[in-house]
Amino acid sequence: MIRRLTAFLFAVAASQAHAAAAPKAEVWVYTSIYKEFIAPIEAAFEAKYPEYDVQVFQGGSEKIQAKVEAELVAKKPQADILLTSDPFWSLDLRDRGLVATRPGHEPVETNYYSLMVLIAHKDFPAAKRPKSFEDLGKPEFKGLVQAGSPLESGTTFTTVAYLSKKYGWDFFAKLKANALASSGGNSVVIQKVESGEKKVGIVLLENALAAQKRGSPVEIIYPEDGSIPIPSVQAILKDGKNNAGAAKFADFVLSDEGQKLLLNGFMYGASPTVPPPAGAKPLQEVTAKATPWTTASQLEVAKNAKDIKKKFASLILE
Amino acid sequence: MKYALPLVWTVALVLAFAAPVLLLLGQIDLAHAQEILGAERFPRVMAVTGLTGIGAALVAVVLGFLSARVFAFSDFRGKRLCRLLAILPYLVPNFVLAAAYVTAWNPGTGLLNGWLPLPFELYGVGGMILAFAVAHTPVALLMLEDKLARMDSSLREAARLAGASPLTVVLKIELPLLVPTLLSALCLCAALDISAFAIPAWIGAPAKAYPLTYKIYQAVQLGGTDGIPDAGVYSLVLLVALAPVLALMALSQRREKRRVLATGKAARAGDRRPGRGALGLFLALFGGYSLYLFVAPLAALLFTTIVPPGCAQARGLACLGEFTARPYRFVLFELAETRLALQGSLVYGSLSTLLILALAVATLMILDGRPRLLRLAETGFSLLMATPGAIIALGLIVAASGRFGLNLYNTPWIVVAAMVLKHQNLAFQPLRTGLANVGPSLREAARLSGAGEATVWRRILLPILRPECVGGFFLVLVPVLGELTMSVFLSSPSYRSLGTLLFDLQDYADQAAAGALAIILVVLILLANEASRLLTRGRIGY
Repeated sequence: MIRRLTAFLFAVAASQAHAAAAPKAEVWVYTSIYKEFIAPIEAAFEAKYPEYDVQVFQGGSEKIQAKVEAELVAKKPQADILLTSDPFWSLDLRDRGLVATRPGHEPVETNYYSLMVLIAHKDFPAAKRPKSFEDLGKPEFKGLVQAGSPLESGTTFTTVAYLSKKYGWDFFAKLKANALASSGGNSVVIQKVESGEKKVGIVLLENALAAQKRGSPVEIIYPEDGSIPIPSVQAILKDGKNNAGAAKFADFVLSDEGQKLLLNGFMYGASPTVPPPAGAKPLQEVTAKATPWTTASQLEVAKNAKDIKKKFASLILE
Repeated sequence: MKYALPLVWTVALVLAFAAPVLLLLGQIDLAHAQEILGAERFPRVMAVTGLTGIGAALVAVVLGFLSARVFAFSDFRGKRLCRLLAILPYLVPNFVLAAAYVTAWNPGTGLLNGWLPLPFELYGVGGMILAFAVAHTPVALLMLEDKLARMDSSLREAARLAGASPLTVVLKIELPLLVPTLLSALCLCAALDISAFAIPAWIGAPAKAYPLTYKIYQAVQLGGTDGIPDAGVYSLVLLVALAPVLALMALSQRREKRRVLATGKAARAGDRRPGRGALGLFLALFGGYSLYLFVAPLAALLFTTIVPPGCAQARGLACLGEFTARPYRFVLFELAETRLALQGSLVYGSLSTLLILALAVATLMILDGRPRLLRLAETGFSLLMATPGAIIALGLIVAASGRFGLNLYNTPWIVVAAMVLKHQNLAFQPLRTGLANVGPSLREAARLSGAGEATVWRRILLPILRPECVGGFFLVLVPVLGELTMSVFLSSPSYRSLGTLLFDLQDYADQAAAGALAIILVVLILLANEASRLLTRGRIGY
């Protein structure tokens, strides 16, 4: 019985290994784009370029970072191209000489924008809701607010970096006094607010729109001090095995076809000519009050990334 | 040959099992270590680790012993169902249990807060102890039940005839005989608690109660290249903290030898029908416990997956009118990854489990009669079980990605290797204890009748150890299927598991879908159990 079971399992495993060894050139994509949105891009790319076989590893930006850094420690990079929502880490990789350069392109390219906004449970009275990120430091929001963790989610990290620059760490001391809850990624925030465990959340617009679409009782607040634009970026790893395929994939994501597919995931296109996602306000309007990212400010965050995470961890997580 | 093989085997084991972790620990630097150990919050981390680990293990062993006595000594209608219910919390992955608890008892909108509240706040040390205890009581139950059933019944009968009360029998006969197994169970439960991740993440972290494993996770998340050495320091602390537990376990193994339980004499289980009152009391207590701490929270989780998001918390049972199967449809038919994850988990999970069992039996056979080597192997296995998954995974990435001639990275085999490293002890421990319980007379008799070493194993020892092998299969398969931390690092496009898919859904994408997948997983585990019982006519399964 056991012998037969073992033989069967080995046979299945072997057949799978065989199926994986197709003659096509593999392009390894590590991305933080959600599974249901990267899958159509993968399919469309493979349909257009049948000579490539795209292998996608999907996970939160910080998980991808941990995996890639572990691969680098082991001197065994597997990824050909990275698409994550942590531009600072990609810039850091560039400065460490690990990113491929190609003519006519920045080594680290923005491929879409996400937007960090506030949400409130629909039963939480409108008059009591915060109007801006800064409001969250006021005592009346004590115990009511949920955020993701910058240790796990790239977009939350960007938000922490942005807010600490704009309002200083004193603002986070106030959030600590307000017992800000911080864990997981954006989905945790949605869940905690839609279940009513928390009343207000700091979360990505795309998650909020997707949640509303499936009937979640959350309402979007575009903060008066500006929604936070979060550039997502792509970078081709210099030591990847298939630079040519990675470049094709990079171009495809930036093409009209690729950008349209991203729009289905409620993200804002990289080019201002792409219309905003369904149900969202135009990017320029909601980020009017926000401090825009510059290459210099991104590099500064990239340099201090670890300190920012440590500071946040010691203030909010301890 | 007779002397060389055990040595060669031990050396090979030590190399294969220790190398990945040692390579990683090699990255620790002293300044880091001092900084971490000197931190103001460090004692608190140790306190949380110790309290939850040992506290929950004590509760699990006490509950496990009480229920094991009933299942081992009595027969009653519905016993199989009761026993399945008692073991089920172990078959359900920890993160499903944790998610169910949060749905049921989170302080804001727990669905059960109103009519079935917890006497204390869920988030924090108390909640962690509760969840660990519920999750690991079945481990203690499985280890103790078998031992009790095999206990020579004449000992207990003699005591009763001599006028001892049932309580005296428990205190003076059963407990002393069971001391080694009780200690083993205690240590195993404590080791499982201390190296667990999901329950601390879901129930401890919201109250900022972090045990060592969570700190390791945080360190890895905190910063690429520096994070790994930091994590290495915490792991080293964890291993040092576990030393007394492991020493105790080794000691109990040594005492085990003097307490031979299986003598070849028939010791029939279930030879006693309990009195009505006693059985009623047990069923009431056990039923209450299961309903309160297991069935109700899982039902709460199930409920949130069949109604619109947020509705359960806002309007309670009134939501049933708005039944939706969306999360199930999404997980089963729309998400392409489900099929891959299912395949990966089942194929490679079962393969890892069989490998683990085979390795455990081979080690016992080869090192039989070499107590020192056996103890060395055992210590190694238990150390690895207590080593956090992240460390094993990172160590394997360093060790098995081509630098030393072995390249498993981005293949499913690196996950199989990780599972074998991490969970070897789960199969080895019960087998070793089982073997120690076999009286020497059986072997001697076989040898005198002319049986060689191989025949002794094939005809005598392996058949006696079959319950340990069968129990071991499930004992190992379940954590392998629910494994998270290592899979997160080691999963690749060619290998995905249900655990990582569930974690990703839960953490990043869609909570209701995660709940639906968890429920599907529980149903699958139950079906697998029933199927294996049917196919093997009740020999394999619960």
